[in-house]
Amino acid sequence: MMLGYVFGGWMMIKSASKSLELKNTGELDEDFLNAKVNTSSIYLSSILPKIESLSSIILKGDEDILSMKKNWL
Amino acid sequence: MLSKNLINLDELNKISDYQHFSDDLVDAILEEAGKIGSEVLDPCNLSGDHEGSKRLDSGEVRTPKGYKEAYESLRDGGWFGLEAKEQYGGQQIPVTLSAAVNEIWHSSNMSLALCHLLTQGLIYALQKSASDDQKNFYVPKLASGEWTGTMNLTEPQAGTDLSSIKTKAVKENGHYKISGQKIYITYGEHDLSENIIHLVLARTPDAPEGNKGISVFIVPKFIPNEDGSLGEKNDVSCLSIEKKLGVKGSPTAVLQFGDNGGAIGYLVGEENQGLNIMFEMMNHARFSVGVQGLAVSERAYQQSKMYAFDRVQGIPIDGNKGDPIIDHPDVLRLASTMKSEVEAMRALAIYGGFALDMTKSSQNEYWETKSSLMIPIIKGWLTERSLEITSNAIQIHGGMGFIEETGIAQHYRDARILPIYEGTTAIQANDLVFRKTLRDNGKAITELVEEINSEISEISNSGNEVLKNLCEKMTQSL
Ligand SMILES: Cc1cc2nc3c(=O)[nH]c(=O)nc-3n(C[C@H](O)[C@H](O)[C@H](O)COP(=O)(O)OP(=O)(O)OC[C@H]3O[C@@H](n4cnc5c(N)ncnc54)[C@H](O)[C@@H]3O)c2cc1C
Repeated sequence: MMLGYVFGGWMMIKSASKSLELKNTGELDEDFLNAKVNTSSIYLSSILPKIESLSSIILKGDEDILSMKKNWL
Repeated sequence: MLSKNLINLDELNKISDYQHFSDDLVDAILEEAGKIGSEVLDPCNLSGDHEGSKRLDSGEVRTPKGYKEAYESLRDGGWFGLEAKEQYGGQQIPVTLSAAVNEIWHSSNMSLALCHLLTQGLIYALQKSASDDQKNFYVPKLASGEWTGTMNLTEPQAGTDLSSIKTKAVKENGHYKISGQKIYITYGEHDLSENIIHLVLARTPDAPEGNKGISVFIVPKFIPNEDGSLGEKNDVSCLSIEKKLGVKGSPTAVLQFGDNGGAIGYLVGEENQGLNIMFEMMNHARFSVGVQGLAVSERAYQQSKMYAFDRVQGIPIDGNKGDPIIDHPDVLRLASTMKSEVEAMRALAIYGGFALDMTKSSQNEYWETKSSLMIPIIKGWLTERSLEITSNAIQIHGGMGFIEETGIAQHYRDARILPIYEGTTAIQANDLVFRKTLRDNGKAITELVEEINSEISEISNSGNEVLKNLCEKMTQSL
């Protein structure tokens, strides 16, 4: 899951970069490209940071989970 | 069409299979696929979900109203041959493009599009692993859509762990007699095509135990004559159709093989090579399920957006009486994060498709490593995210979201199968960690992360403030 979010961020940066490049050519509708840059920003501010909590969970390890006894479930 | 600009389409032209590929072809195919989606597949989506597929006392299965006509449109339009090679009557288009087509169709009607997805999977498997005679005989019938395909892996005691498969295959007169029970077989029985070709995992009597003793067989519902016309009914019967949470239009069958002496099956490849053959097609199949996750998310987003622009409730902060709910900041937050994540999912899917296509290029080794690393992530992430996105779609609808009539609940239910079949999310994670990472001491993943890092710093240093800012956010999170 964590790598999924990271790859998503990578794609959104590519997308923003391409959108800005295409804006200079005038090939595509400018409003469409502005929207793309904005969705990239939203992704990087509001979605990608989810990996911070995921990684802190991973780094804490699963010792507690593994010490759960089956008869406690 | 930004996705088209994110990858280098010219690279695909250099691959001998895809020399005919062009920008115009992309536009033409996507336009047609869009029409099929909205005019043919969508009209029987919600009604098909409510009606469901049904098994009659005769053992035949009746698909929902409209499915047959929709299937006929796909068949007559040549759409079943999308990825099949030209020599078998297919259109031989790259995965990059078929993924975009699949997104449209699974958005329109996931239950029905599954029939197409399974048939593409079978075509892929046969083209890769079957004998020339088998390819020449079966692939044209599948590519024309006259016959459809299934994958028969799962048994009651063998789901994730295929090594415990028990279905038997006994050699007799140049073919095999298959007996045993398969469960959860998508489109295992239906009334759409004249014949169904099952790809079945089974064991020969003297096969070694576990993974190394599994073989793959072609088992047709009707045994074809040499000229391709249909002969006798094979010894396969549909015992029941499951009642399910979602994808209700698609029949999920319990199939019994060999109650009357054994179903006739034809070996694909060599005995005991079954799991290798399945592995060969696994990347492709898992990728397609990832695309389903994208598709159902996009659909849920579209419907939510329309609803949010229409529904009036409460006075938004800084707004006026009569303003639609999209003017409430929290609704805007839901809608815009959905859109933004769907875009990231789509870009990743298109890139994954491109990576699969590039395994046929001259840099095949590089792309082989890259795609096999990316596929479990694409499958795992796109399908898991579809759960929250379809759930947020219900949230935007409020109480109407919980009511079946609106149609939004269907996507939430349909999405739920995606992180389960073709390897549960846990299995995608195991695949990534054990097979793809520990086996090479993390070399491939480290290289990929370095590649991403250097691309990001290049973009960051391109002199544009907006991009620099975005790249900083990315590096902060890593
Ligand atoms: C609607 C539908 C359609 C389907 N279509 C087809 C089809 O067309 N053809 C076909 O052959 N099959 C099909 N399947 C079957 C599907 O692929 C299996 O259900 C799936 O592989 C999981 O197997 P299982 O149900 O036996 O679950 P189990 O294997 O019993 O898994 C139960 C739980 O245990 C976990 N688990 C199991 N093993 C491990 C492990 N090694 N490490 C970590 N966790 C583990 C799983 O992640 C899961 O959470 C379909 C299923 C459904 C519901």
